[in-house]
Amino acid sequence: MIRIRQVSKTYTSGVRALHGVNLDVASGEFVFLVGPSGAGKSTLMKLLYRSEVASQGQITIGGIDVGKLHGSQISVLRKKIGVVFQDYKLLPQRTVFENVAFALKILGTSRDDIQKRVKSALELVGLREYGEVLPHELSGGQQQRVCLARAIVNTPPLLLADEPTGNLDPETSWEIMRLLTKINMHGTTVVCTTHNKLVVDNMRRRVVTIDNGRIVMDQAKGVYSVGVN
Amino acid sequence: MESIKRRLRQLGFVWEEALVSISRSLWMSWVVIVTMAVSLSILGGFWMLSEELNDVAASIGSRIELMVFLDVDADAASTAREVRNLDGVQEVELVTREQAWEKLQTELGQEYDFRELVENPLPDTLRIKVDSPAEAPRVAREIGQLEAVEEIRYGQDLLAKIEQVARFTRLLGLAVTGILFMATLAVTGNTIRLAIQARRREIEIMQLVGASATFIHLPFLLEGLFFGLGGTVITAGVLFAWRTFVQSHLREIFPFLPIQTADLELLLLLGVLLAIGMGMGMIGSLLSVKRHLRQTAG
Repeated sequence: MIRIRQVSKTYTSGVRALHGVNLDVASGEFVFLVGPSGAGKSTLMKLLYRSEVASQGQITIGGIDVGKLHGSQISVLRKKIGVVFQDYKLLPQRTVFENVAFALKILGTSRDDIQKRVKSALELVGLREYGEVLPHELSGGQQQRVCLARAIVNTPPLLLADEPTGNLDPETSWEIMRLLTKINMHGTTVVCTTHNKLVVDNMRRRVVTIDNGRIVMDQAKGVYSVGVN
Repeated sequence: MESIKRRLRQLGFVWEEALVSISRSLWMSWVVIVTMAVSLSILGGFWMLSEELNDVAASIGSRIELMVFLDVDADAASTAREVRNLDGVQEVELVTREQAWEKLQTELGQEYDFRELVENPLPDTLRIKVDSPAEAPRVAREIGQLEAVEEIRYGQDLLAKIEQVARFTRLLGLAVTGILFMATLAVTGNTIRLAIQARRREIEIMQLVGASATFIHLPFLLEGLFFGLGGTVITAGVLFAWRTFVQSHLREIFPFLPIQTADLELLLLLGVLLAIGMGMGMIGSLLSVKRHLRQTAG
């Protein structure tokens, strides 16, 4: 699914975020990217959904060389990737339903289809009753679930979650993780960055540790440990 | 078929987005529309004014006759033939001194026949109509070179003045409009920039869920077009009012001037203004979109 070869990223400011990163993620896998703040986790995510371009090396997703995409090809790629953010990135003036429907409307999905798919996405994240509510009326965990619903409503083969539990309490974090697992079990490849030691240690999933722009460890059923805070 | 439906639904969504954007910044939209209307009204006003002046000049011109007074001993008939052959001459009427004398007598009254008292002092006269008023000076010059001609009279000074005023009006109109257009572009561009900033989040999310650049730009272009449309509608009102009230007043003040604009011309003018307005709205918005959306693209 994802193939990362010798990827380095140096920002124009001179900050070197990634250095010679190699990583393979198979289709249907669930991978945690862990590491301290500023280790390069978010940069790697941005390279994956082509918000940034690698300075060196090659990233392919489903056989497509992401770095070579331009203009409309980028939007084609992004239609196949769901993204979940730490700050949710919901539209404050639109209801939960509209927020989730947004991605489908852009694709020109029919009204009936939108109704059906938004409802089932909200069902999956447990917010079926909250369609007509505005985001600010929800708790942080609920907002993150809306963000999740939006990311998967288009049933993308790949889901990227960048610090999805960063702003949430442990209880709520668990809910989100359970949802990610559920989505993963439907066949979606999930890559999730996190700081949350507790979650990582208990999930027993593949853990890739990044420090200082390099991959320092890659464990099949790993824990969040080694020399990182 | 399904792909066409899909496109139509996308267009519908773009349209909704444009309406949302306008409704969120009603006050700014209003400012842009009024600015646009002012520019277009002034352009249209100047245009109408210069058309009117042209009409005045043309109608005076069509009434222009060259009065050519011949030498007393000239051969009037052959001179008339010569003049008729000149370029730009439409019609030549020979008024012999006897006819003129007769006419004068008729005009002055019948009671008293002064023809018995004095000898006819009038010369033979040619009344000449020219093809177009612009040709009058040249024709006059050529006739003046004929030997038999004593003197030529026509309204050359008045005509020249009116044409000068019309030309000046057109230039002034173009200059003022040019400046106003730049202001309009700036205001439109700025409003779209604010709209883009107000919707940064939407744009970011649209980009992340895979909306194409065209898709993201279109609502703003529609907004610009809408400004042009709104501006033209107001301008239409202003110009109709101008025609109805101002022109009728002008007609009262200067009853001798043939002031009028045909409805068809006004519609044509509004059509042109609509095209200009929508063009300006779109260009203003396009400039802003190109400049302010590039950073977030990709």
